[in-house]
Amino acid sequence: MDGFQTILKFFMNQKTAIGYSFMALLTMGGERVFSLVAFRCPCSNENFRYGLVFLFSPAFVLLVIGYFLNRKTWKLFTGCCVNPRKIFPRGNTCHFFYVFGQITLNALVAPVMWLSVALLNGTFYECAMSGLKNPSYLQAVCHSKSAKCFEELHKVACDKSSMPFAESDELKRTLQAQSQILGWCVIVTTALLSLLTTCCASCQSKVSHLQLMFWRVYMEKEKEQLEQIFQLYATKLSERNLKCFFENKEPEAIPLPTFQAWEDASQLYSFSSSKQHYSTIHRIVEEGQKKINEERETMLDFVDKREIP
Amino acid sequence: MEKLRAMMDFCIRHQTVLGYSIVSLLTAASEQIFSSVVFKCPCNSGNMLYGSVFLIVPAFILFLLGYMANAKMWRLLTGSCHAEEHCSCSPWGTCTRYCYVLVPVTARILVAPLTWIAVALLRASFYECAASGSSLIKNLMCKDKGEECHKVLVRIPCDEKLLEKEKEKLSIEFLSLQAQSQLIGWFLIAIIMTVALISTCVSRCYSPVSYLQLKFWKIYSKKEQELFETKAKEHATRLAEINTKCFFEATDPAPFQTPSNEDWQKISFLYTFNLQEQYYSMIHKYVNTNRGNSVRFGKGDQDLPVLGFVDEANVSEAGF
Repeated sequence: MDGFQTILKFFMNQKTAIGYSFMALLTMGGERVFSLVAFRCPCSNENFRYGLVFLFSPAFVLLVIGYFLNRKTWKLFTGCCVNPRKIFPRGNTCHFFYVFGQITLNALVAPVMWLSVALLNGTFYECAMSGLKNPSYLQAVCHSKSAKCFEELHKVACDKSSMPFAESDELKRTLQAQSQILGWCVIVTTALLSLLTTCCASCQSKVSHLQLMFWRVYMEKEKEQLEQIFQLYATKLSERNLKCFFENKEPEAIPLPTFQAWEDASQLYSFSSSKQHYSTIHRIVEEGQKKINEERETMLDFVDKREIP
Repeated sequence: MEKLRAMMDFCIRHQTVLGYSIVSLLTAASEQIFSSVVFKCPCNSGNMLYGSVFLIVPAFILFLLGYMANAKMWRLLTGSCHAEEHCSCSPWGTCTRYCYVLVPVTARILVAPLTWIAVALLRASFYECAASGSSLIKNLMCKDKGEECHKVLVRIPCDEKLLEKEKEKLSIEFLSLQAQSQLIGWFLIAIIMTVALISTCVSRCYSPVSYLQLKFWKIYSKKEQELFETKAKEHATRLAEINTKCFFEATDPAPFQTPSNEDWQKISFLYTFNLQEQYYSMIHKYVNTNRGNSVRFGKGDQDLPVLGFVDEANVSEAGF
């Protein structure tokens, strides 16, 4: 029982990793399902278009879902037309693009996973490239094969060409190999880029490592506390309102934050090295409602991020 | 036990997304069942009608069911015929107001029907059947090839090998119907997701309330809904007790405070937002403006799509 608890604790600590792995498994499962159920290469001149649509549409859908699920997107966009100064604050006009860039990078994780899994599988790429009518590509693929290769490459994916089996098999394997190499390249490039960006961001961090760890824990706890207090106040307020409605009484006053206080608390967090504030709410509570000059945001993008991808 | 609770919390926080995913999965599963069990393409001139019916009618039924299950619609419609006698609004004004309120509701309801159509197109059986009987496709593919080509075309959904056999004979070169269907399905999905993202962004952009306040508001709406049910039950129990006791004992009922018809009317209006006052629902507004008698009660001018959750029955506190 004790061992079980330890294992469970270990897994709960690795939430991010588990979240990503789960996403990867889901993507793999989805890709398998597609391949078996829905994907049928037409084996005609439309191969290229068909293969590309199957390769990139799920990636696009995953990207949009990634945008939807990211809390920061909605924090950024809520109320921006009503008050454009919110997202283009004076003296810091690039802030919007910086934050939007971060959101996009987070949202790109799932599509890249899909692309790498789909390319490693090879079916989509094989279908698409067998329909590509680019002369130089055809030359590269068919260079030591019979002349039929040029006209019948698009039938190779369905095993319906009139070429000898050995040749069409070799062509299929070549295309699949290309696909898998491309898939590995995508994985390696993505891994390197993410490592580089994390390193750069860490280098530029004005905050020490341990303080950063504390910061992460603080943000999680603040999120939980905020949720709890929302529930508490919502219950209090609605109880009071309903009681007054049903029993025809006068409502007693319940103190709630003002409109301006809500607005200030919803700003995206900007780090200031002169003060030690761990979040917007912390800053507001300690400094009142007056505006202060902010330095540029550093790597504290996790401050407004979700815990799980 | 605690871990299980943490998982439940996670599920509850992401209710909206989970809800939509479950709706989509259910639709996809039932489409699968329909496709394999019920659907049998007739392979004659009735293809177009049969295929289109299977594609569009279930979507339409899901659409209607969505409307029937939506609380906001009933809130809008209940008593609206009588309301016009009291209201001095022009019919044009009421009409625009109805449209403005119903558009976000319709958008949310469209999830299930569009999932059905998208999944059906990806599986390709319905479209294949319908297109093989459509005159548009016939003209595109069988240009100047005569009756023979038409006959082959309508039999394609029933016999997969037929296309291969007849292709050379009639020299038909075209994208197979199945591939067409899947391409259309993917385009539809991509367009829908883009439109959904852009419209949510735009409606959020025009929100006069900030992110945290909106979050609190959603939680408040949900709590108020839950507490309303509880309190209404309690109140109803007490009132029923008094009435039945007095009936059987032939006594006069003790005075019992219950809201009047007018009070109920006042809280049943559709919520409108007023920037000056911070009211989170009609009940809140009513209670704080001297039971709806103050001038401020009527003052609400904005119907905002982003506040569409306020009168919905099942409001999620998380999500976007």
